Amino acid sequence: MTMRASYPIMALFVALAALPLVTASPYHLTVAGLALIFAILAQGTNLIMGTAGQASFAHAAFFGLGAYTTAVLSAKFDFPLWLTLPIALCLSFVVGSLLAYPALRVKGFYLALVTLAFSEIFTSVVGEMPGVLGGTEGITGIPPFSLGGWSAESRMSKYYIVWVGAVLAYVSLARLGASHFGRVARSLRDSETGATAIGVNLIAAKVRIFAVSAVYMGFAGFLYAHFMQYISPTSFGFNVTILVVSMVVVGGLGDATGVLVGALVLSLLPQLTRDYVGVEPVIYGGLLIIIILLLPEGVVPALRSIPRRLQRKAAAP
Amino acid sequence: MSKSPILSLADVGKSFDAVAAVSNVGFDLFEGRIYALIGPNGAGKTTLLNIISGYVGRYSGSITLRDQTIDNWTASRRVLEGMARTFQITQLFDHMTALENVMCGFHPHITQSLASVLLGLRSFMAEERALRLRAQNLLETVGAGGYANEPAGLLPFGLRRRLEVARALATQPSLLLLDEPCAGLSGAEASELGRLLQRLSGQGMCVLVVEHNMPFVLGVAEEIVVLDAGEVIAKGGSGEVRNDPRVIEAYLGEVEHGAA
Repeated sequence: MTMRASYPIMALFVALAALPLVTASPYHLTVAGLALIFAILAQGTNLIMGTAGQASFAHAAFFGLGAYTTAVLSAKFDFPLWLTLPIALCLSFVVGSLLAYPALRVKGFYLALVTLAFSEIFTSVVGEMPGVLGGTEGITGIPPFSLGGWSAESRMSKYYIVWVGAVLAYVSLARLGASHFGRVARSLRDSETGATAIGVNLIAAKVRIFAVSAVYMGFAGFLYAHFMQYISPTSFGFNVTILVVSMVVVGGLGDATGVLVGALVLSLLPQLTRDYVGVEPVIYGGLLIIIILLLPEGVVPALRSIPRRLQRKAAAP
Repeated sequence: MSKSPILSLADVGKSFDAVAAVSNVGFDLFEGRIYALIGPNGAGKTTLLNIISGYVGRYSGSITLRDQTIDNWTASRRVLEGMARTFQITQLFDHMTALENVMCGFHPHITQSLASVLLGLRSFMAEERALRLRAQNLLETVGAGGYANEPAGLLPFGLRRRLEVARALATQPSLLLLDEPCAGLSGAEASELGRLLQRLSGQGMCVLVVEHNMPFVLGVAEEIVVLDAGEVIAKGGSGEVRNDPRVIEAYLGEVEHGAA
């Protein structure tokens, strides 16, 4: 399927925009803002994992790269936002390309291992560097989003900036998905032999897709750093890797709308289970097993196929 | 016929684990002509097609495309230089619609940049509209116009074959390699495909067909290359090939005996 912007999703974004009218609670807005940031991260991950079919697990590292670049430049060197954002995105693109070139020469299980190792190395390295990177204690004092003389001091203004970022990410990814770039990405998932037969240079195409998806992950990191104003290596650890993979698989691998819904739902899930310490991983694990066994295409694609299935059933003699 | 061949094979050979799949194969293909590569099962036809299209690694001998040696070229580069192919087992993009599959085929000629896509520039919109139109026309050309919005993975076998031909044509090749294009097609569909290939060769395209369907081969091919045990045992017009005793023994004889 293509990834055009859909009306139900636009309606969902409008509803999320109206959230501050329903609740002004900083806690609720923080939860919703984080859900939107994770939605961007999941969609970036979906581009390489779902759309292009590459088993990459480097998303937590690129999320962290974007966040640390933003945090270091803005908190330690007083860089303005109009400089930190392009630097964070460019660095994500460059590191994404550099990692992709050797990593994407291997496939499947080996690619998963290489990218997972990259993620683990990232958190270990930043955790071991107490100087400018803050070590295990992380970086505090990150300024809020600010441009010119204006600064997003309130939780609501920060939330709206994250909302704008999420809308931009969704719309831009929908556009990419409906373009030749998106078709090439999907061709890699369906048949690499077929992709070669239309003249696609597999390595170059994979590197490009990997780097573009890293930019979205870095963008999520940029938003996270300014939104939370504090980061530490644990924010980008293995739990984030698993959480984002769960969002993509539960929502529907390769389904942009599904992944967005999956990300929002799974981001809110911990809030429902926070009274039961330790139960969260069990719920994620259980959900993943159930979805993979019963709805391997994901929840949203399964829901979307219901009318077609009913139609077929009705048409059957 | 132009004087220099579009594709030239000289002493091409390939062995797998010391077993020769193709040896000392040499022939020239010219623009505007239809060639058939025939031979019994295991003769090395698909291996040779894979060698020509760059899907087999190192091989001996040399291949030139329009006087350029292409032995070190990847399969994708060969496509960009005007060589397109289909496969014995179709290699479609099953989760895409038939129309999107053909739109993908225009890959060598795409001009849209990431920036034009993200900014929704007119040039991007115009190219997408043009691609849709041209892809639909190609689907009509192969008789699959009514299936544009069907997922390729749900199409019946014969339609999948025709869709793959349409996708290959979208790359705008000057040399088209078809691996058993008639498999799964009805007699009428095969005849229609034959007429399409004749139209294409009339426009200057060179077509090389690997095919078991002898009535189809004898009907469309202007020149036939016969392979047996990886070697060329005969080449020429259908009359010459049919009367070649080695061919009768290796291949056509079997068919004629079988048909009798």
